[in-house]
Amino acid sequence: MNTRNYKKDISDQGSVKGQTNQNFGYSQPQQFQDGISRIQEEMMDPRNIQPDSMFLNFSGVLECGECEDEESLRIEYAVKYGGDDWTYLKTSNNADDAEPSGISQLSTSRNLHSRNIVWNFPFECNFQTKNIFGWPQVVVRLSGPDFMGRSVAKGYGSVHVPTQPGYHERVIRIFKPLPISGFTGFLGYLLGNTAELKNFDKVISSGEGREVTRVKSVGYVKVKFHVTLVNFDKFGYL
Amino acid sequence: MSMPYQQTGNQIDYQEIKQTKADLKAEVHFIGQIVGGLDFQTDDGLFCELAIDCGDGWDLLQPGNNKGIQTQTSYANPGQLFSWGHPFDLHFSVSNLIGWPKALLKVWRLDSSNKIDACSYGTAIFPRSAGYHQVTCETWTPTGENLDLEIRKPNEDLATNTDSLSKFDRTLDWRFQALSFYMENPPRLTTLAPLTTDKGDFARRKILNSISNGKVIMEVEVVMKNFKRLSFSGQ
Repeated sequence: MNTRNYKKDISDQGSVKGQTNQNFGYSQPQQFQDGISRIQEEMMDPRNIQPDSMFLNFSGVLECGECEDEESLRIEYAVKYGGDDWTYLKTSNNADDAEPSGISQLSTSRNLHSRNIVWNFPFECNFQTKNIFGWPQVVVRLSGPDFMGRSVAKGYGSVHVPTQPGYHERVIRIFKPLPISGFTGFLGYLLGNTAELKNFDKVISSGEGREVTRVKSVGYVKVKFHVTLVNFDKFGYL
Repeated sequence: MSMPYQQTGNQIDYQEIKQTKADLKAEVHFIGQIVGGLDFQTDDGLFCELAIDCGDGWDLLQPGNNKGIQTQTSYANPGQLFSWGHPFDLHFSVSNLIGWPKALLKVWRLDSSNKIDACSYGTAIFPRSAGYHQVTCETWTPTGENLDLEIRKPNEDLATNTDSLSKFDRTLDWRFQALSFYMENPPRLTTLAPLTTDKGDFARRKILNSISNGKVIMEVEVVMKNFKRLSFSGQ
C-alpha cells in the first residue's frame, strides 16, 4: 500500500533505495483528515461551479419630473422584458405583484415658479435569465386631472435599465401623442378623450407600429437606478 | 480557471461539464434607444430611420429580421428636443472584428400637407467599450453635387491638377438650388452608400455638397461577451 505523507522533501529523493515512485503532482485524491478529497473540495468551490442562469436585481426611485405647464401629475411605471428567456421573480403572492408595475401618488408642484413635481416613488425588481436579449425597460406614463378633474394621460416615455452594476441616474424624455386633427383634439379636450395609447407598455417598449403616430415633446422624468448582477461573469459577460 | 463543474440536483453530486466552441464565441449586445433630435430648426414633424451596417463577420442573431427602425413623428418648439424614444435591442455574434456596426441615420420631414421628404443624413458608430454611452450624431443635408470632381484623387497635390474644371470647389450648384427653391425639398441621396465606408461607392462622396443640420441623440448600453477571454479590448 502506498502510504504517502503530504510533505515530502525533495532532498529525500534517492536517499532510500527502491523508492522511485515519488509523485509531486497528485494522480490519486489525497486523503485529508475530515474525509473530503481535494477533487471534491475543488468541485464544491463556488468559483468552479457553472450556474445555469444569470440574475439581475435592480431597485430605484422615480424621483421627479416636469411636464409642460402641468401642476399635478401621477406617474405609473411598468417593466417590460423579453418574454421567452426572462423570468420575473415575484417577491410576494399578492395579485398586484404578478407583473412588475406600479402607480404612484398624485403629486403637485410646490409653487407657481417651479414646474418640478416630486414623486420619489421607489421600485425593485428581480429577474432570472439566460440571455441578454430582451433586457428590461422601464416604461412610464404620466397622468393627471384635466380641466374637469378627469384622469387623462399627459405623457409617455421609456428607458432601459442600466447594464452595469452600481448607481446610475437617467433622464426619461416624455412625449405626448397628438390628436389626428384639430377637431378631434378639441372634442377630446371637452370629453376627456384626449389622444392616448392603448396598451402603452407594449407599444412603447417594442417600437413596432409606431411609424404612423405623431407626438410632441412635453418634458422629462429623472430616475435613479441601483443595479446588481449575479453570475454574469460566469457566462462570459462583464 | 479550473474546469467548471455543475451541481446536479443532489447537494454532493457534481459532474464536469464540457464547454463547446460556441461558449467561447465573442458576442455583443447593443441595448438602447434613439432618444430624439435637436437643433433641426423646423416647424414640421420629423422622424428618423435607422439602418444597421456591419461587416461580413457580424451575424445579427436577435431580432431575427434586419429591416431597420422607423421612429414616430415628433413635433417640437424651437430649442426643444424632437422626442422619438424608440428602443432597440441588437444581439450580434462576432467572428471577424472588421466592419464594426454603424447606424446609418436618415431624418425625414413631414410637412403640413402630409408629404414626407428627406431632411438630413448621418452616420453614427456604435461604441466599442462596455457600458452606457450617449451617442450624438451630427447630420447634414445634401445641397447638390459637383460631377467634375469625380476624378480628384486623395493625396493629390491641388496645384498640379491639370483638369481645368475640377480644380474649383463650388459650393453652389445652380441646378439643385433652383429645384429645391421651387419644390421646397432638398436633393435626396439615391443610395446610402456615401454614408458607410464598407460599400464600394463611398469614394463618390467627394462630389457632394452639403449643408449642416441638427443632431440625433442615441443612448446605447453595450454588453460584451468573451471579449476579455479572446483578448479583444473594450470589456
